[in-house]
Amino acid sequence: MPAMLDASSDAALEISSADEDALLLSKFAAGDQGAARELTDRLLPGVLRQAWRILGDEAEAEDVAQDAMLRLWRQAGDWRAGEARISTWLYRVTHNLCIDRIRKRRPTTAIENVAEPEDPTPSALERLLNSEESRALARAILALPERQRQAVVLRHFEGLSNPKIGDRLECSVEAVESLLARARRQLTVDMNEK
Amino acid sequence: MTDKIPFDLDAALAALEQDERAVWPKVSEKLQMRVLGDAAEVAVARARTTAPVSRAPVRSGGFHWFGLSDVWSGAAIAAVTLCLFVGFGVGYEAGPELMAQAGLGDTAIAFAEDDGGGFSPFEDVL
Repeated sequence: MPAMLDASSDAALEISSADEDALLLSKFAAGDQGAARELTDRLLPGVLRQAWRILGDEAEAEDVAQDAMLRLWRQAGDWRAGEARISTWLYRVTHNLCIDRIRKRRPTTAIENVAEPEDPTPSALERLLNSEESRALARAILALPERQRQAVVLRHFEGLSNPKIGDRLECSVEAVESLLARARRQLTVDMNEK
Repeated sequence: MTDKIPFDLDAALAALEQDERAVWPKVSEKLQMRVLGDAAEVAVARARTTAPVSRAPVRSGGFHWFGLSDVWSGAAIAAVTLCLFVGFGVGYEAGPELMAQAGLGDTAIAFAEDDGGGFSPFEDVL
């Protein structure tokens, strides 16, 4: 019973937070610059973290975060409250911008001109982690299929509930549970092998 | 023989989350300024495109000569009509004489014989 109460109060908090974001965006569209500042305080840290996790580079993550927020400002006048959550929309935009960046990084030179392949670059997180176990787990998470990795990150690092993860990944709660279960099984296998 | 300690995934994930939290990139003041600068630019651009365009008030129905009001349109049309009538009247009376002076005497005579003096381009119409 307490778990149910917790879940319902979490959901209520998420809804009110989404409403507040939408209200602030409509205020910004009406010319309120204070609303832009408040939205930046609320959304920018999460956008920056998400981009940093995917790109592993702080400067690039900052560029992507700025670009994602710029798209939000441009969208403000046409935003239809109630159709989508701003945080969900921003998550997708940030993800797509990061994927575009990664694609652009790929070399375009002819294969015969390519030098010896380099060792895979460790992610920013991997380089910074102190414990061997944490580094191994970070590597195992990065090796997961993309949807599973996103679900794990949103659940365990962003602390989102399953319904909200489903909202971000555009899938049902059951699908989220399945993604998390498969990811956890794989992570446990990988870590036990080490 | 040593028993392997089972791996505790939840504990490892919690530890990793704590480690990550310690190295999270912080939103720098410079980034915040860049983002807010973009917001200000977008707001200015939007204000420019949505500013009300000044237009003449919508007129009620009726004929508006060269955009004049009802009263002035009526007055202008009346004045032009009056000038036309006066002009044609003068022309009707002085027509043959003026045409003779212009070297068109034969034509004037033909018109004069036809209807008893003077001419009007709108003779048939009138």
